[in-house]
Amino acid sequence: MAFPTTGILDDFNGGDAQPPSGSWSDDPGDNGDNQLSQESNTVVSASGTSSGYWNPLTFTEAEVFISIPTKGGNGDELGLYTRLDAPNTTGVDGYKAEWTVRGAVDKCEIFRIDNGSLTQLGLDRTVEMADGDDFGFWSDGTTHRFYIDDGGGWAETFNEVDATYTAAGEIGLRIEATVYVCDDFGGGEVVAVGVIQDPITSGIIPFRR
Amino acid sequence: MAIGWFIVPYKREEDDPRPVRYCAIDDQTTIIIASGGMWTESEVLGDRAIVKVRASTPVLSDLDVLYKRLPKDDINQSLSDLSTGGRDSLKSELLDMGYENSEIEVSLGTDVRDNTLGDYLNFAATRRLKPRYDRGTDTIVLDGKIQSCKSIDDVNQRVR
Repeated sequence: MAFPTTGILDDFNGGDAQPPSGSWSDDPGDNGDNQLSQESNTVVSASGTSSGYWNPLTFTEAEVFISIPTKGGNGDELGLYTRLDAPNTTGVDGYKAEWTVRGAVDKCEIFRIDNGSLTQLGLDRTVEMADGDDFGFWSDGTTHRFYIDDGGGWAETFNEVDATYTAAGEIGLRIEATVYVCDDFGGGEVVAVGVIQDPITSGIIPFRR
Repeated sequence: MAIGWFIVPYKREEDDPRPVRYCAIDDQTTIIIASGGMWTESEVLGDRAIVKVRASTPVLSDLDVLYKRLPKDDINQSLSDLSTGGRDSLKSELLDMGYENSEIEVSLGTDVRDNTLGDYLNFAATRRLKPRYDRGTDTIVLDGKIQSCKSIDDVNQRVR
């Protein structure tokens, strides 16, 4: 399946700021995370772990992606959220994909979020992260798809099925540790082939014939 | 390769300060994959999961020591040849999950041996409860609203 179908929402080129802009709200997972920081036209965690969610719109068939110019160190996680409901509260629900640097074998996981707790769906997968990779996540109906572009084009790494949360919610990003340098956060409502969407109300670049 | 169905508990991720839980069979993913296998699960009542595993026979035997393996490998197989002890064991598992005897008997009858493995698994996947994180005790508590389980048909189709 084509991924992504939407465009970049934030290229972080607006000058250093924390959070990057008013379109970012804090700590979607209610973990006590810091705000994301926009530095040198990228997004980073200035201290410890930082996270945020894109607040202008919510998405049902939600996709989200990020570029990783610099990967983290051992144990450092990068996370993408979809269908967040009640973010930054103890009642937050939704889905999360995590790509974690783990020595020689980096780990890929998908979680369901229930009232702030995380339940892993399925098993750990192992895919090595490298500088320059892109990471994506798509909640496609009841199937949640983990995507990587290692320079050879986007490809689905694996998927898990969970039908618990199907309503629209926010998308977000979590960066654990200051080593990561990320860029070009994008996503939105998945565009079906041949469908023209209003870029303002849907938050995506319109399909161009 | 062979197939096994198991009932497996969830565990708290110990090296993560966040409230994270996972199906304990993931601790055995490496040996399952190394044998050319795979597994998938449906989270059910009682903080456990119905897990279908495809793996080598020796690996399934190893898993049998760690988790409760169900007596049949095909969801269409009848449970009629189970011993009395086997019957009681299966029913006890449902009661331990948190199902009431009355609802078990409404769905499966007074003798679970009158059903197929699929009937048993479908009942076990009737419901689960929404988790929450209790910050005061740093525990994940499963006492929330009723939520649906992944269907046994989905589990059965995903790992073959």
